Amino acid sequence: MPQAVTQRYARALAGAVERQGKYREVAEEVGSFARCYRESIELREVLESPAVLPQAKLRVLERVMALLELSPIVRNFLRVLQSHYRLHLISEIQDAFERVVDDRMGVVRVAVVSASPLPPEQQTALENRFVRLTQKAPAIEYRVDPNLLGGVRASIQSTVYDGTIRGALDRIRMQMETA
Amino acid sequence: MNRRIGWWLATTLFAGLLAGASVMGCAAEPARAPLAVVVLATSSPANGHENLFDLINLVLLIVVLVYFLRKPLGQFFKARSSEIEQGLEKGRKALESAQAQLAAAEEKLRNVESEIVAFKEAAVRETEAERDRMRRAAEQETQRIIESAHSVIQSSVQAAKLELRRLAARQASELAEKLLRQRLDDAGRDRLVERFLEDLPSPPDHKPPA
Repeated sequence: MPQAVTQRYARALAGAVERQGKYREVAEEVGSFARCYRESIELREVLESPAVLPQAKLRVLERVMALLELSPIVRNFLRVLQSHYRLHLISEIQDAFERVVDDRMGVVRVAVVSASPLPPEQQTALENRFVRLTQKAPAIEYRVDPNLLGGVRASIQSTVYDGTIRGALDRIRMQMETA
Repeated sequence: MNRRIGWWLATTLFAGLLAGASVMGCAAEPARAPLAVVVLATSSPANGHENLFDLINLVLLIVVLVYFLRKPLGQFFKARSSEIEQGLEKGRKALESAQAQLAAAEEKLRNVESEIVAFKEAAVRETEAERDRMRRAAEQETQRIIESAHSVIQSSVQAAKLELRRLAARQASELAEKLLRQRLDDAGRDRLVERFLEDLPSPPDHKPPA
């Protein structure tokens, strides 16, 4: 149920932003507010407490939005969330919105983990390969995990391509255990 | 009640006899009244008239007594007779019952020997049957325990095999990891990345260049 709700709000925001085309800017602004909401316990307590009047909550929200210098479209969106008592879902809505934006902009997010930092030529080769694989522009996030020993592990949404020694050793060990 | 009426009648009759004896001049010695009556029968003719009147008085007294006492005495003796008959009947029945019990006891005594023999034989048969049943139950229980032990042993062996396999796999994996850490150099890492790029699948509608 929350996933369906967040998806609905994310699509609505994307629809509102579509005319201006400022998907990334809006995504960043929503992300900054979501980060602020996650990190400030006091802000969460005020905005989620049933003891605080809606008018007081709106004043606090307006103050925070002014401090973050959010655009009018994001402010309107956050007011709607506040009036519908959905502000506590802001992080999930942000994730859903980024997925919707990626989909509309033809971008696919790829998480690449390697045992050691990849040199630029290998990063370029990976990017080109993912373009061929997904037929979309890959937004690659690189991360280093020495425990992998060697090789690369790439995750595209729910699909994982594992070319690491750690993965190979785990597969061999499982085969030996179940043989 | 009948006993009370009987005592009353006897007392009345005795009192009447005493009265009669008194009339005949024997009141000074009441205990000797019957003797006085006998003496009256053998008295001299000089006293004949007086004795006649006394006799008449006595007869009248007896008649009166009989008139008044006949019905209560009849009832008393009838009730007493009935009680005695009932007692006799009860005694007869008790005697018959005792005789029947005696006959049954004698019959039992006559059959007790054969009953003891039959009882012993039945006891031996039951003992044999119980022994067979217990032996079969013990055999079944033994078989069940053996099967259960086999099952436990098999599952333990399977678990031990699995644990051994896991241990061997883990040790082999750790040994391989150790060797790889020692021998893997930058060139090897580059080759792994290249192989990863080669092994990535192509999109379903992707046609490789000719």
